Amino acid sequence: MGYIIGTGSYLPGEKPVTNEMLSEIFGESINLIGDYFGVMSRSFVVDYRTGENIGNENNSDFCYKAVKEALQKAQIKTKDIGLLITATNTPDYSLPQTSALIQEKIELKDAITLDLRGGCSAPLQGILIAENFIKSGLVENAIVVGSECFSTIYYPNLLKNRETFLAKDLMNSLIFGDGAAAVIVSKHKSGDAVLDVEEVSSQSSFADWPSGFVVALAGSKVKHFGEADLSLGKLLKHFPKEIESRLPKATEAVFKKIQSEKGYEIKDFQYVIGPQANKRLVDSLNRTFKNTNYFYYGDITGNIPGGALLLALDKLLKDCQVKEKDKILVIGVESSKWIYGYCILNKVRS
Amino acid sequence: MDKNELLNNEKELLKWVKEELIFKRLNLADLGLSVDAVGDTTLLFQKEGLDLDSVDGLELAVGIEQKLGLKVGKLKEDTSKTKFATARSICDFIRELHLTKSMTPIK
Repeated sequence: MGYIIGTGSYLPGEKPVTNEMLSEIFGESINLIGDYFGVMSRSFVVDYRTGENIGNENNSDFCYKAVKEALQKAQIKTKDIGLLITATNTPDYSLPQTSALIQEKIELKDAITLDLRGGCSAPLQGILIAENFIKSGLVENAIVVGSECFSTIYYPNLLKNRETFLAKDLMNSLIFGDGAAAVIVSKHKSGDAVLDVEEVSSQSSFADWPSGFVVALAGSKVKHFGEADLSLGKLLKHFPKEIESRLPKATEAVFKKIQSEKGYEIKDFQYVIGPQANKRLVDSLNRTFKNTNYFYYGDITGNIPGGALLLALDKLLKDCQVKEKDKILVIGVESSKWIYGYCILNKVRS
Repeated sequence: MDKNELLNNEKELLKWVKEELIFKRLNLADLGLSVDAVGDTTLLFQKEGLDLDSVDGLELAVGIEQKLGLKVGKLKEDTSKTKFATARSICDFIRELHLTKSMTPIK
């Protein structure tokens, strides 16, 4: 029904912060983490030498810049946007909404604003909602923007403990990155890079599985997840055994659903944008995605859960010669409650 | 005890590996365990032992680099099952790193 008619992205900082740059501060143990997870760099809004947010930018500022580029590419006016959806797990505030903050920044007078929080799958939930708003006739154009801002939360603490840090502190600081990406979903087929949204779906079918990853609020008491006090500095908790065993299972289940419901085989897709968390996890998906053109961008950006799939899509369109009729499969699986989604896109003529 | 004393005293090194590197660094008290749960040959990564995970393996490697100034190098898939199998095998691995000296002290 709808089309993606423009994409945009923004990564803060002058340039990506590499493991080599970080090893000057934290020693060569950085390489243990980098090699293990296959994350070679990440973008930080904070200065990696001081932990200060020099540019004074936050999550909604990243979104604003990504949205601005997407609007430009889509060649539509801001006033034509009827729906603005954000997907982030690290908003500037609990309230106000990130979507309303962006609405103000882009000077959009009237719109429906929605904030989603669904880890890596949230952008697909956003596109699903946008598609249905367009189908229902409520709006003609929608923005879906995914983003994260992790460095302001974790990196300053890591710097303070540079002599005594734990591997989990390094992980939380270094496998995640800051940034945003946006898409414009429209009823109309205009703009410079049009993708027909053939199918979009998002489901939660594995809520009874143990969580692989939890992001707590400061001060939360979360006995449910086996941690007495997830206070500041311990906000992220990883359950590696669950992630390593269940992510491949969930991803395979999603692809089987696509096969059975849509009749597609993996060879039908010229590009696959799958989970972007880190190279180690991407490699574990080999059984499902063997011999595919899997587009992975997380080794450069770090993991930006809310923005990863859209960042990869934007980068794919910018760097690869995606041809008319090429089919792109986007699959997202998040590991806190294993919510998943997928989107089948076809490159079409404007 | 400084790193040179530890590296030259087998008994103290084993004690440090069990009490500081494994028990304290991995927060095993949070799991309701006491320090006695970490024996010389307790299987660290096996279900019948402490059932540690891959990030715990990374934690051990970072702890060895930080405290002893030895470069562990790239962790392979089987490192946890071999080099980090027990407290005693970790001690053997540390001595191996120390003796080979090709692993120069890290910054």
